[in-house]
Amino acid sequence: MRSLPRLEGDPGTVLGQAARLRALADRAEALRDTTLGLRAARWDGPAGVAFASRLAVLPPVLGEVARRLGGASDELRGLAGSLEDLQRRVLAAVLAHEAAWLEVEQWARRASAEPDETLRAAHRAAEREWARAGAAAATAHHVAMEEWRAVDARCAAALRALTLDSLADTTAYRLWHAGHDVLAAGVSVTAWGPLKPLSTLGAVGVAAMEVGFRVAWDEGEWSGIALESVLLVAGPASSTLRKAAAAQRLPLGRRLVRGAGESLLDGVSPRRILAEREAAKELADALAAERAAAVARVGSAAGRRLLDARLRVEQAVEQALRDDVRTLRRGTAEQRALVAGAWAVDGATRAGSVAAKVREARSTRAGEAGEVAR
Amino acid sequence: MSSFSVDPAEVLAVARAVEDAAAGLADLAAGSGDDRVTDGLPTGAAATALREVVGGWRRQQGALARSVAGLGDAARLAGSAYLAVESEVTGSMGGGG
Repeated sequence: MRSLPRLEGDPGTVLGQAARLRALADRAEALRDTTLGLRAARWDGPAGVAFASRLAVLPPVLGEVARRLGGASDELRGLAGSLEDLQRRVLAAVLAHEAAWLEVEQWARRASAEPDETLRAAHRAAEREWARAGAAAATAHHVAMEEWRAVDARCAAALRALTLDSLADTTAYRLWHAGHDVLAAGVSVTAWGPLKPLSTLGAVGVAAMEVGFRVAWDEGEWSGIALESVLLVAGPASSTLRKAAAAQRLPLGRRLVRGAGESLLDGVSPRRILAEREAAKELADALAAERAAAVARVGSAAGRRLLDARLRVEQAVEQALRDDVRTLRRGTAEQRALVAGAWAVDGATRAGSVAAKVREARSTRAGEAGEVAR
Repeated sequence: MSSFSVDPAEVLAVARAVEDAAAGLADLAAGSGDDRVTDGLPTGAAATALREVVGGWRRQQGALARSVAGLGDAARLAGSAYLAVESEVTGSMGGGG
């Protein structure tokens, strides 16, 4: 007897999976509503704007997640219904087919054993009748299975259509990089309510925090920032931050305020830090030229002082870099942010003090040169 | 040029909400990423497509959850820093308010 295949699957389990996906979709929907509600928070500084830009990407992403999971749930529920119906029809066809062929075999045996020609002809007629019934059952089975394949293909197409959303490879990138341009914008601190004194202190804090956030968010490679700041080390504010990073326990803002002090420049921005860095590079080059001249004229007192100063700066750079690099390689996210904040403060302050020293050294040397000339 | 006005408590509340969202995303990832999603389905095109639909963005879920968690961390760091700045400033003005 030829046995027809049954339609596998368990509609009850499929319905359970549909319910599970629906629950996940509802969860994604709730998360979307939560993130939408966060827009009301008062955080209007540049960091807040950057944060909001990043956050703004979340609701649509979560909406797409909800749509995808919810859509999959609906499709599964429909599929489970069709599966149950078609399984019933396929099973009926399989059983009818089996029964028909049992009858066919039985009537065939009877016909073979029947000596009476009339009865034998009647048995053969019954055998053919059951064979037709078996063939009809096989046809019904085929039709039901074809119907299932069509339902399966339709469902697959509908499911695949759900993937045509923006949950593609760009999602993480968009979330990661949205607001990057905002971070590069200038930072301006204006007086506002109880935070008014921040117009003096806060600018440095905000600028440093922006850089800190960039590191915390892995915005670019920290080593890039390190290279930018390599010439600018060991300011009082940044050394406090570095100590905080080393101590692993001090909040960024508190140390920033204590370390930065009122003497720091107002209106510091990442762009300003960049400009200061360029200025510092020029000064460093100038220092190197001065050093070469000093080595050539090492007999002069100004030359020796410049040489000593240059060596001290280099040693400070080396030591600070060694410590910073160690922290950046092995430290926690907060430690890295603190060190980045230190660089930011350095970038805003060291150029000015180095420039003053260089001017002073040049002036001294010019004076000595003038005396020699006389 | 941007103005600067912030309520540290709100920023910290945002941080908490975002951290919750990150945890929710991680739950989503854990819930939807398993192989059980096609349980009960006959082998066929729909089962394959379902794995793609539900499991396809699983590759992103880790990065997404980490991004959101990082966002929460950043907000918490910012909230704490703003709070510290504010209390420092309040203290320097004689404290109290």
